Amino acid sequence: MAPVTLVPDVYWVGAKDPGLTVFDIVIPTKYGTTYNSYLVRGTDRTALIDCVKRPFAEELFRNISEILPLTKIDYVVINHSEPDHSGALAELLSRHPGVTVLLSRSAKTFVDNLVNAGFRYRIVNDNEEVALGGKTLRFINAPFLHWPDTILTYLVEDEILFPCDFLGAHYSSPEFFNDELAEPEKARKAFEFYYGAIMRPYKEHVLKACERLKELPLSMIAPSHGPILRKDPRSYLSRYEERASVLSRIKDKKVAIVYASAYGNTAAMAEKVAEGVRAGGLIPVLLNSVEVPMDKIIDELEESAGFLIGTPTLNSNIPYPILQMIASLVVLNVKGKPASVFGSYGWSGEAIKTVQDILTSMRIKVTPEPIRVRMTPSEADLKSCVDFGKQFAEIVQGA
Amino acid sequence: MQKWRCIICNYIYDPAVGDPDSGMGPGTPFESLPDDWVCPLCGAGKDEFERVEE
Repeated sequence: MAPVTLVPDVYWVGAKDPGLTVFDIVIPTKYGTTYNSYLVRGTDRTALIDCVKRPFAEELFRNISEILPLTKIDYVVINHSEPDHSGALAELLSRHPGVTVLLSRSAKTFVDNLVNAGFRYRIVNDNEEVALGGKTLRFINAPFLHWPDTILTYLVEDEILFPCDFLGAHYSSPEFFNDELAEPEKARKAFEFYYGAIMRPYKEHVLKACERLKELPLSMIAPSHGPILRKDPRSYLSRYEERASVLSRIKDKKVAIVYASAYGNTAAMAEKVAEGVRAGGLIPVLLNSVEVPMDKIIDELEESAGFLIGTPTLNSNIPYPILQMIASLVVLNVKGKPASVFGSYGWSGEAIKTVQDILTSMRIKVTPEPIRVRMTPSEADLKSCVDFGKQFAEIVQGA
Repeated sequence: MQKWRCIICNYIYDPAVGDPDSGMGPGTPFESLPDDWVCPLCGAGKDEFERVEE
């Protein structure tokens, strides 16, 4: 793939990976992805913005060499040090040790551990500028979009924002710009999916960045994955803002009750817990994890003021639908959200305690104390489920 | 009291405030935080903190 010109002296020099089916172990990428890397050439100096994943290093170097020799690069900006943008850095440094890496303080810590060797670097602060001669790079601190290390780079003269993963999409196509896509609706889907899978846990930070970028003149957004956003760049920011402000639109105080039940016992408990939540003044949302699609469950968990997990025990362990739901919490920030656990079991009932321990390790305070019932819940057990739900609703309202 | 900064995310631990979410009340010096205490913002360990020079 040959370099592509964004504006004079600004080039895409990255790599495309259309065949990729899963990114980061857990994110399905049905449209593949791209690792976008950009070269900005000033009259005095040249900067490379982000690298590519290691297996694509040769492609990056070949693209750069079509514009200038690799050793003529003065700076490499590492907006974010995840290996899909920094994987090629170690190889680049070994071929061109004279290059200076521009990065945040936290990225420096990560890159140290990525390349395991010394390198020339400069830690850039918020709003700091680096002049290349007729082209100026300005750095914007944007921690947690989506790592603590993240900075966004802004090319002042051309009004181009290089936000790395922020506003990206796992979408590979023969076209480069959003106004020339053959299948724009698929690219839109990929953009939406990307937000949900990657940026969603960092809503507050997304909103902060949207606010901050409001006044910035933008001719183009050039992210590290997917199409370059040349047409209506601001509409993509607005869409992030809309999605990240989801909680401000939720009026009802809901409690999500996610459960699985093999013989209806945990389900019966869930019904009674819901009754208690309602008596406590909140709206219970019962979600059978075997029937309700996981993305719907995650939406409900995001919108809920607290959540309860009802789990049976299967061979001393947590059944898969519950485990899957816990693993899916990775796309939400649930730290500090009230939660607790309940369940019926046959022999030993370890799953309730195991779920409790996992939630605790996620910095969730599990309260009230989980309840366990052996086999069919008795009238007294069902009554304690109602009390448990009611008590939980009170805790949520006190939180 | 001495403040400490997380070098991963720049969170500042201020002993005057403590980290009540983790049960560390106001007035808890950084040195008294348990070894398994982690940065409430990014989860980095105590060894990722440095003194804030004032």
